[in-house]
Amino acid sequence: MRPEKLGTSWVLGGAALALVLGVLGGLWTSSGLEKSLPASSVPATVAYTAFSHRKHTTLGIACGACHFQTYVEAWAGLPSVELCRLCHRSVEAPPASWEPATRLPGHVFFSHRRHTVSGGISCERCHGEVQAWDAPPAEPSFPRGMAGMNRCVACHRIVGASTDCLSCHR
Amino acid sequence: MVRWAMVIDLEKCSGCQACVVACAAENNVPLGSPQEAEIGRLIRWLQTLPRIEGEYPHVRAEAVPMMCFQCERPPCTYVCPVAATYKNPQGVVAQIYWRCIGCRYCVNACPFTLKWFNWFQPRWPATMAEATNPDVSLRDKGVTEKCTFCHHRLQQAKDRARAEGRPLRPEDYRPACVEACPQGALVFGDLDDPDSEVARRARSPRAFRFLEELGTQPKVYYLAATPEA
Repeated sequence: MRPEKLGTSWVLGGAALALVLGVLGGLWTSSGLEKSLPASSVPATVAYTAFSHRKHTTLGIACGACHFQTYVEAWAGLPSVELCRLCHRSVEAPPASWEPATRLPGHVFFSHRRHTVSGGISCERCHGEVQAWDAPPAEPSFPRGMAGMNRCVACHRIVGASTDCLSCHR
Repeated sequence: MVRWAMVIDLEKCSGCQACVVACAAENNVPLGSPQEAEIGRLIRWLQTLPRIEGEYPHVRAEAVPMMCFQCERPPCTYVCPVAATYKNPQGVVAQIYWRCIGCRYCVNACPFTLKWFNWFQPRWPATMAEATNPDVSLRDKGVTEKCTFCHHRLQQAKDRARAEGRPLRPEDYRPACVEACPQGALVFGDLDDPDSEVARRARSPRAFRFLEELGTQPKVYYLAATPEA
C-alpha cells in the first residue's frame, strides 16, 4: 500500500545508524568482548547473505547489539553492512535484489519498541529459536496473515493487552 | 472506564481553520483538487461549517469546526455489513480500512455527514508524499475513512508514559486539532472523569450537541457563543 514508507524508513535508519554506530563501537570495545575473542576466530571475509545467527549468539552477542532499532523504533530493520564491518574486515554486501523474509504487512501497525521496551517481552517470544539458525531464514520468522494474528491475539489476551482492532489496524 | 470526548468553545473559536490543516496533515488526508471540491467529494476529517446570522450591517459569522462526533450510539456502526466500523471500548468510533468494502452504508447513515468516502485515488504533491505520517495508513480509493480522535497519538502517549514509568496524564494525549488551536477553543479529555476539564465544560449551561433529538449521543460538545444563542 505504501512502498515509499520503506524508502523513508531506510533513509531514517541510515541517519540513526550513523549515530548509533559510534556508540556501539564504543560498547563493543569497552565490554571486553573484542579481547575475549581471539582475532583469528573472527573470519576476515564474510558474506552478508550467509549470516549465521547461531555463530553470533553462541559468542554471547545479544539480539539488540545488531538489531538495535527494535528498542527505539517501530520497525526492526536489518543490520547494515557497516555494522558487520565493526568486527569483520571485509563484508560481501547483499545483492540489491536481496530481501528479508520477514516483512510487516501494510495493514498492520506494529511497534517493536512498544513490545520490547513497554511490554518487556523477549525476542524469542515471537521470533522463536533464531539462535539455532545457520543461515538467513527463507520463511518469515513470524507467520503472516491470520496465523500471525492468532498468535498476537492469544498473547494479548493472556497479558491483558488491547485486543481492539484499532490498536493494530487503522 | 475512559470515554474520550471533546468540547469546542464557539466563543473562543475564531474560525482560523488551523485545526483543519493540522488534522489533514496529521492523518494523511489528501489535498484533493478544485474539481473534487466542486462536486462535493473533497475529504476533510475536520471541516468548518460556515454559519452567518443576521443581515448587513448586523452580521455575525461563525465557522463551526466539525469532526466525527464519536456518538455513543453511532448509526454508522449499526449498518456496516462487515464490522469495519465499530465503537471501541473507549468510545471512539473506529474504521478499519482494510476490512472496509466501500459500500458507503455508513457514509449515508451518518446524520452529520462526517464520514468520508475515497471516490478517487488519493494523491499528494511529490514533496508531501515523502512526508506522510507513518503512524497513519494511506487509504485507497474505494474505502471510507473518518476521524479517530488521533488514536495513534494515544498509543504514543502510552508508550512515552510507560517508558518514563508514570501513569498517563490528561495532557499527554491530545489530538492534532486540539494541539493546533491557538485560542484553546478545543478541549479534549475523559468524559467519565467528573473532574476533567471536558466533563466540567460539557456540564456548562452553554453546552449543546448537534441533532441531539436523534439520540445518537455525540461526544463532541459545543459551547454556544452567547448564552442561549
